[in-house]
Amino acid sequence: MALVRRTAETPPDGDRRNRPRDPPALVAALTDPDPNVRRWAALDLDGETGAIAPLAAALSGESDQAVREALLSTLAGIGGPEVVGALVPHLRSKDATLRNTCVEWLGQIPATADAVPGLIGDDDAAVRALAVTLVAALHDPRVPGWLLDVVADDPDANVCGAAIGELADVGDETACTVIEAAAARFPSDPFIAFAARTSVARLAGSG
Amino acid sequence: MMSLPAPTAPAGLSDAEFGRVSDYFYRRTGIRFESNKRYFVDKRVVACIRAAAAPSFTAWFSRLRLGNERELERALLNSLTVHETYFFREDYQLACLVSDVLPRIERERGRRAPLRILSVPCSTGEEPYSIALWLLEHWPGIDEVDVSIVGLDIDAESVEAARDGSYGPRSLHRLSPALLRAWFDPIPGGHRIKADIRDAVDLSAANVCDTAEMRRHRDYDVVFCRNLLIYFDEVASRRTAENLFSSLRPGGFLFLGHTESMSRISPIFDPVRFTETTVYQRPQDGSP
Amino acid sequence: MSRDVLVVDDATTVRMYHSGILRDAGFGVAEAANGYEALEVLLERRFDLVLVDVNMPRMDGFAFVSALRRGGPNRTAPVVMISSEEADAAADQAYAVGANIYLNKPVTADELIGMVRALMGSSEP
Repeated sequence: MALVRRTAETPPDGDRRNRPRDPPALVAALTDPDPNVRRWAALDLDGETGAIAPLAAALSGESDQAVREALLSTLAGIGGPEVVGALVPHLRSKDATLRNTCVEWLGQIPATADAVPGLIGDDDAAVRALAVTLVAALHDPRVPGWLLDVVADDPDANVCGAAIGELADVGDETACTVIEAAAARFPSDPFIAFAARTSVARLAGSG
Repeated sequence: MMSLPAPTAPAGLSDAEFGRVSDYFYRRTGIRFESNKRYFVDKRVVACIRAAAAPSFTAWFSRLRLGNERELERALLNSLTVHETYFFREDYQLACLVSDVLPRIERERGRRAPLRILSVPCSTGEEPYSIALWLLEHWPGIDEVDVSIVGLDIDAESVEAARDGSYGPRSLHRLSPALLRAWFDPIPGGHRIKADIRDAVDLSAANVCDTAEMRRHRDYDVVFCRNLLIYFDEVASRRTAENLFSSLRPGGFLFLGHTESMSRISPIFDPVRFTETTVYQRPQDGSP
Repeated sequence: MSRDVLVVDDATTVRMYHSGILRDAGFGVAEAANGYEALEVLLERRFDLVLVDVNMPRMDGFAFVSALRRGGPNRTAPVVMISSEEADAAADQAYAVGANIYLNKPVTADELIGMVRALMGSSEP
């Protein structure tokens, strides 16, 4: 029988990462040509508030998915306004992957809440649309209120429609009049008509 | 139309309410409830609403969906998922290991290369021992290849119980009498797995969410992490996925639970479809 | 024989809207809430067309279409991308990754069904 017991061990290559953590060296390793090295550097910078800027900078140029995830999970773990400030500009990126990945991670950082009013009031409808997705992912008691504001006031049909859809999950019966008023602002938009109808039906409690 | 007796007050969920909670649960876990699970879901959700002291479904659901109260989510998750461990649970995955995954690994690494398999959480040992028994029973390669199986669990008591290797009828119900005779010794109330199997499987305590703790566990060819990740929040499940990625060698394979999907958790693995099962692969170094 | 469409969108209401239009027109519809899930579903069975939103967390539409076109049983399935962005650059990127059609939101039922039928017709042998 060839079941062989090996106790949990250090890997055969004599794990170089068993050395004590050395933040400057790790930061330098964020640009190493080997993606495995970059990835471990990002993971090992877990909790290093001094490394926020280089971590965020590394993100812009990073094409390896596993490395990007490591950078973002470390940044999200650190959290706080500085991280949010570093990630929010990526919402305007031409790179759809970077843009959408940042939306996702920002939704996991509580400090993002402070950036929300600015984002839902942004001049660019594309940014406001991403902000709606972001708001819907946040765990904050102000979420329904923010979505209501967007539904009530946003001039862009796609932004408004997206917010109506998200409100169906977190709103209550009082959102119905706001939704109906918004639908009246965009009488020829087929998606808004649909979203308003289904959201009101859900919130009013009927089948 | 269901013809079940109506539950006592409060009434069950409306169709819309069932839809909303199913949709939420699907988003959160990837698990879909078809209408035939209606009674199962209704009963448990009503209990959750009551436990949360919410005046109505809508009030409860808004709190749940907002995500501020982890306890609500945890209560719902625990009540709607099945937690039991037993030998040969989801054994079609063990079959896939032997029929599809091991041959792949063999092609990449050669016939004789030693194999390392990780089972996490190992709980009270049913899973790592199941892997051992399945390989012994169904894999010809077991005679030629050194296989090491490691089990990890955050709960030290479970690990102790796993090392002891004694089980009652519930854990053993899927094992044939022949299998029991071959690999277990009868004890009062059940069976104990034989010493040579116990000695061959390495079991210890570890927290799979903790990158520093998991760093020691590397270069595995196959990892089983079934029915654990759905219980974590988004941040913890992503970090755990990263730790599992790190524990695999490039090209190594990860099995999740039957209803789970990496698509809910992390983008860093490649899904690979074998007959009826999707397994996740750590990309080879240098892949796009 | 039923023609099957996979609708991929993270926003539930948007998914319901497009699925509803397609079902009403007689198509079989499956849904996925993100690109990874869609890729897994696309490994499991055949579809006649995939409808996908550009802006999705976890895996945006462009990355999804690129991944789809790399392999698997649905590699050559027609893809309709939907976006709120009207910029030509976005449409160019859609076609560059291998989408067949790029539509701007909101999409009317007639528009969607017209496009879907045209694409399915063109994929017949």
